[in-house]
Amino acid sequence: MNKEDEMKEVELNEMDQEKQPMTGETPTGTEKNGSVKVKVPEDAEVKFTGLSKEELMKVAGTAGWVRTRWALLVLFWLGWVGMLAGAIVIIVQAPRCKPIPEMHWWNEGPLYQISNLDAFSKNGLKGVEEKLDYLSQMKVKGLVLGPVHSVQADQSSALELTSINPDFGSESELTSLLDRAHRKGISIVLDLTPNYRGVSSWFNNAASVAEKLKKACVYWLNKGVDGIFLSDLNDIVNTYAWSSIQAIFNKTDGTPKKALMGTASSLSVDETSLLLNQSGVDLLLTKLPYPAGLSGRQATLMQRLCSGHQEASLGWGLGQTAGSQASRTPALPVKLYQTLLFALPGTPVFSAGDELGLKAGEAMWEDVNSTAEEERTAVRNFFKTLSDLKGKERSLLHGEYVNLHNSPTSLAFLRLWDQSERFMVAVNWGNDSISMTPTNDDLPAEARVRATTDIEKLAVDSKVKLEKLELGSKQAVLLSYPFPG
Amino acid sequence: MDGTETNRRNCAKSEQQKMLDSRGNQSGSKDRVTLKKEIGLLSACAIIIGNIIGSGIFISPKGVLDHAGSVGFSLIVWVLGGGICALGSLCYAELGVTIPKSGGDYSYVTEIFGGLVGFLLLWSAVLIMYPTTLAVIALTFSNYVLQPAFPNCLPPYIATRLLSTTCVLFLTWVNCSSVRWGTRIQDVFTVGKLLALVLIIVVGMVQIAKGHYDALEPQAAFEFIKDPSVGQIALAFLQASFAYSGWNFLNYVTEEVVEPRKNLPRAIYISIPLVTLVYTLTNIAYFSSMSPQELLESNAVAVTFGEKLLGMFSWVMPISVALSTFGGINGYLFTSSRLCFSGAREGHLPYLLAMIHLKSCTPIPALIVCCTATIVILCIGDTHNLINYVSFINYLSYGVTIAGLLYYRWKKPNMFRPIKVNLLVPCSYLVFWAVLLGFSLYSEPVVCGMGLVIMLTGVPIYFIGVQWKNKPQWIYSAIERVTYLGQKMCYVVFPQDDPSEIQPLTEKSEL
Repeated sequence: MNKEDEMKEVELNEMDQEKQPMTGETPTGTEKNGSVKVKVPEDAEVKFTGLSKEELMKVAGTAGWVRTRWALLVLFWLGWVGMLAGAIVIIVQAPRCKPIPEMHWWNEGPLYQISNLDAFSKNGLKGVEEKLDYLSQMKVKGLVLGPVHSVQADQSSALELTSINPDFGSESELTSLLDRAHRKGISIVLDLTPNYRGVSSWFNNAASVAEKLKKACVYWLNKGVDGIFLSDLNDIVNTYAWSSIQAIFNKTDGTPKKALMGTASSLSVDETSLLLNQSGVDLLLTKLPYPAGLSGRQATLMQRLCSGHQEASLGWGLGQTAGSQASRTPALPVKLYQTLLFALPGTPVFSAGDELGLKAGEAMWEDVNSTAEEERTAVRNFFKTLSDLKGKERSLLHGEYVNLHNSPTSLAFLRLWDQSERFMVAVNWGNDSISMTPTNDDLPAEARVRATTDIEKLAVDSKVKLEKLELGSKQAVLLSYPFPG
Repeated sequence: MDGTETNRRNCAKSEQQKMLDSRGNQSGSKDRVTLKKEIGLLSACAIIIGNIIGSGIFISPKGVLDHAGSVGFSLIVWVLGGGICALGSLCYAELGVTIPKSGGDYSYVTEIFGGLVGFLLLWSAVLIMYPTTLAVIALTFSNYVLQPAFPNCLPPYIATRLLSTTCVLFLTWVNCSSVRWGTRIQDVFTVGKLLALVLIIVVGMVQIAKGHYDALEPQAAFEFIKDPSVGQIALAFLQASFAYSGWNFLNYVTEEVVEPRKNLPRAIYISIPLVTLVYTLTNIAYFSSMSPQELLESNAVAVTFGEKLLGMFSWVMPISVALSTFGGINGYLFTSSRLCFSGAREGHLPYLLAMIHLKSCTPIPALIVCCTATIVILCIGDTHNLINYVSFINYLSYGVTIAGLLYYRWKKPNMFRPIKVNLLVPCSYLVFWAVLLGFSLYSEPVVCGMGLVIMLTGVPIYFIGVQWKNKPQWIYSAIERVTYLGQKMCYVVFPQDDPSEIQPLTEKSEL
């Protein structure tokens, strides 16, 4: 009797346990049992609860329904396996990702060159530190400062590459600037062009200052500076000391790479290309000339450099003379240049004020009338738009350069990368409107405007037909279209 | 064969009744004790922790930092987020023991505010909230699974959707087959994600011991990336609340907790501080090896962390996140099917959805409906906007439910409340809730408006489907036929212990 009771109790618990997940209700005691019985018939009259357990077993338990349910289950699994197999096949057949090329900090966004600290801020180095938030908002990745070292014009004996000219600030101020900038993700490059106040950058004898330069490089890199910039690079590259200077920057001790950057003026296309190969610099800054403006020669230069070199080594800037703000003219179509610099393969390098469309004689921070303020804000917002795109879009960061169209006064090219969104740039620096007919295998019928200097005719986010692209005088446009499968 | 089985069951039933008659209180008492031992304090903690910790902690840190504006303040947001989570949990605990019905906040709102309000929550949840959440989590799962094969670009669109679908279908089948297996998967994957977090925290602490804590120095920690504003702070808390979501899931099993009066509050006091600690330490670990800039630029924080510090073991992170989302899908399927069950039992949904399999006792029709809705969402494709609607509706339901607690305190002050929280708790929560909701409406009026519109589309459905009592006979016949067909196809019946449902009603009428 006892044994039998225990078995029945176990059975009861099992049944309850089966139902537990749904309701969790506990069976009631005898005390409630009476009311339970009374209410059941009443509920049965009101509620429709479908087939009861017994009825279901009787009807659905037959061979026909059992076979139906098994068939459904088999169909389910066949479908499931089919989907999984389909997914696997698609994955296996899909092209692999194109490996992303090695990126350094100077490849991730624009560089900002402050050659004339006095013009940028009356407070020198301290003033630059105060403007770091402003620069951070522009997505600037690196600052090229100076030159700020001590030297007297055309006197190599007075050259002290490891001392900061008191006119610009102190070494402690530079240290403070470095700390703050690094915290904001901005790197600092020092311009150590020796004779920046004299006639010749290298005192007409680069070899004579090479040793000082070498020591200075080591000194500043140990202080936390992220790179060194040199003007008229062709003068120093040919000296015997160049390889040992270069070696300072090729250390592989795991720390972020230090950058050796430079620029050279008045070189031909071939000479520029040769210099880039010869020098092994991390970044060669090529300046697009003005006020004469772009020319067919410049277009050729751009194409040759873009096609023949790693874009990680290319830099693009404005101006014949390094950072000479005085040479700016009011007619400069600043947005056009911004579009071009951000779209070209390589790193755009802007001089202080370029992001505002600063004109000759204008000061950066002093009060201006409301009209000029509006213009500056518009130019800066345009700059930020391009800077954001450059930083986010793979095609603009490391895409292939494909020339679509070029003439003495206009240029159009494509940037494309793997399966990323494609970008197309068209620039017209001539005095007349032009009509382009770009041709390429995967060009679609139309593209979307991402940035434009001509808001009236080419509104941002509007669609533009590509078979006949019309561009007004001094205008530029940046278009995009999705990867065509 | 069939006849024999029927006879056996009939015998069992009659014997069961005899046993009850003859043994009376003693038998009932024994049964009660046996059932309630299912969920003790430890199990309750496991349920809360398991449901809270999910893919959010691997994704949300970026959003929190972006809106908080600084490292130090984002850590404060994580800690306070846990506090707010605890307030909500305590309120739900009181509701859970005061209104002991399955279905969570849907049941409470229905009980307190009436059928229409409850139906609207149910409608939004079943139609949009659960399917969308499931779809997004499934997509996250497939993206992470495919990440090793496509490290630098997007996986093929169709492959992603197919993989998500197979994942949802598989888990649906698991839950249809056995309740036990469904909960087992939950347990395994909870352990998996906890191990991933422990790994992150340990590696992070090692980094700090090595001196890598630049971002955590007080001076640097509170340097703001952008100027803070009330709106940004509110958005930071919203991001954190996504990672903390799931704290209300314990209410689905409240009746099964041993000594709920003591163990529910204890489980909450233990679990939520623990989760808060784990989350905060995880973020500290992130910051030990990534600058704020790096964290903001990463789309998958844990994966970036893994790539930086785990070296050849960096694959552990994508796998952990994938497993975490897999467990999340399972959890949502489990709870959404219970919600369908509760709704059908109330008469707000077709009765078929309340039916369970004859042998395995799993809610197959409800699971099939949830799975189908999820697949539809996956096919639609645009999940980004839907997520915004979901967040708004979800957050709205929390506030309505806790407001119901206050209403009940005022309307029925003498009601039996095994757990009674201080009035400050629901009031504090509602103040915070109102602020966040206000800012949501202010900053995203269109999204919030769309959420409300979706919810309100339920009003006519309610009056046609539920309130309309004298429907034509042909409608009843059609419903009957469909129900019968569904029963035969799925081999399901309405739960047999229906009579015991009367007990709560009786209690209430007595009060």
